[in-house]
Amino acid sequence: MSSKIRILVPVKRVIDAALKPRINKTNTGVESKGVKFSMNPFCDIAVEEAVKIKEAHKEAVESIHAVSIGPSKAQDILRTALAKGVDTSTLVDVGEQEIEPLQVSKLLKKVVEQKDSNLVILGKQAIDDDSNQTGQMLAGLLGWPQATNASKVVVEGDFVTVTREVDGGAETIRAKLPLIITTDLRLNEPKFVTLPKMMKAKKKPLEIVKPDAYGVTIEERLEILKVEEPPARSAGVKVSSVDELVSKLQELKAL
Amino acid sequence: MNPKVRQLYKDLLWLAKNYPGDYPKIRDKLHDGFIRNARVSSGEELEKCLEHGEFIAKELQSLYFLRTYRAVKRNYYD
Amino acid sequence: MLRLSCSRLLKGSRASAFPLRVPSLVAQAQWRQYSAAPALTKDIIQERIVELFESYDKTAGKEILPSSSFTRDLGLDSLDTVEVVMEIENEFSIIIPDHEADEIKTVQQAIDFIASQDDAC
Repeated sequence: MSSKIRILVPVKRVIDAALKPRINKTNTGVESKGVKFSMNPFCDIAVEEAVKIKEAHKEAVESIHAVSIGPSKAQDILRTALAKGVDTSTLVDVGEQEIEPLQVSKLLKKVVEQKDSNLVILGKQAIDDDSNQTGQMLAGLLGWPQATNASKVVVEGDFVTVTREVDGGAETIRAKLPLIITTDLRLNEPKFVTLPKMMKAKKKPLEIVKPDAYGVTIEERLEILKVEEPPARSAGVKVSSVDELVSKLQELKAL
Repeated sequence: MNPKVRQLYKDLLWLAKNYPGDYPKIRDKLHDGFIRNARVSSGEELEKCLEHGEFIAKELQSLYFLRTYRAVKRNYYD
Repeated sequence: MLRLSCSRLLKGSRASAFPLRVPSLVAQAQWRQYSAAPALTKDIIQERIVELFESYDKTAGKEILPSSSFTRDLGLDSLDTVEVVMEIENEFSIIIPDHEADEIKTVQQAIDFIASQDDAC
């Protein structure tokens, strides 16, 4: 008889993916005033996958818990997760502080232990810092197997078969729970949360805690020196023949 | 106000809020669209208006989804 | 709610030989704080509702009094009222059923309704 699955889905509040971020005046970060924030798309996919797994394995999945480490406003993101089908949620309120992936992983490890989770599904990276580290670091801290860049997940009892997107194609691996999975864009297509669902989700539990409740002090090990926009792409040049192309490339010393 | 009309307006406002764009502008368009049909209060005409509203809601949802994931695809996979 | 029961227990422990269960409750309070906000008084509700109307583009710059009627004084039509009620629901994290929403026609009525809801925060 396979054990019950308790899924943990960490989610992050980021600037909406469809918006173009602007650098702030001091060149130390991105302008966030008056800007629309949403759930990180990869985290959205993680929530969708957790809910799909629960729907496909109603007897096996005991619960889905969402957690966000961020400012107080991240409650909106957790409410969205609850509206999508997550059962309970936690906000680890760190105020306006930017938290590095290692600190996030350390906090998530505590949440995993507190909730006795045995399957963690999270986005492969956040679209603001693009670290692509949290899932892997968490697996390292917990000593759990990890299946990153998942484009397909199949749960069979205590085993999970994951198809991973890798350079040159796909790789399929199989691991026994407990397991960390990070999501790739191709895993699923999240549904939009309608207003009635959002209203019903207001009654679901959302607890707010501080990081020291887990005995973790946030330390910053990285210092942001400068944030700047990428150089504007210069206009291309049209060539009329292969010979001209070769001579242009030689001019640019590319050949 | 007909409860279905009220719920539809609320749903559309909610979609407009979540669409990263100019909320007041979208809201005003929705408002004017509803006001234009204010005299419609029952029967087949009402059903047609409600259906049109649901259609707009689905369009907004698809647009939002497309916009988000096209941006992600463009930034990460192309 | 948990914080209130915490302080009540603390008061009790001073007066009598009350079993010292306070520390575990305090530890629990670190884990679960469903709402860290202060209790909702009518004054606070009024402040927040007035602020809501002040930041709503259709009523910004208008005088917002408790007696202000949505339609007569603030110039809102029935659709705008639906929008405002939605904002109030969001602001206080509650659901206002249609039949109750229909009765909210002035700022004061909105304040009174919120004050009557246990789960408003």
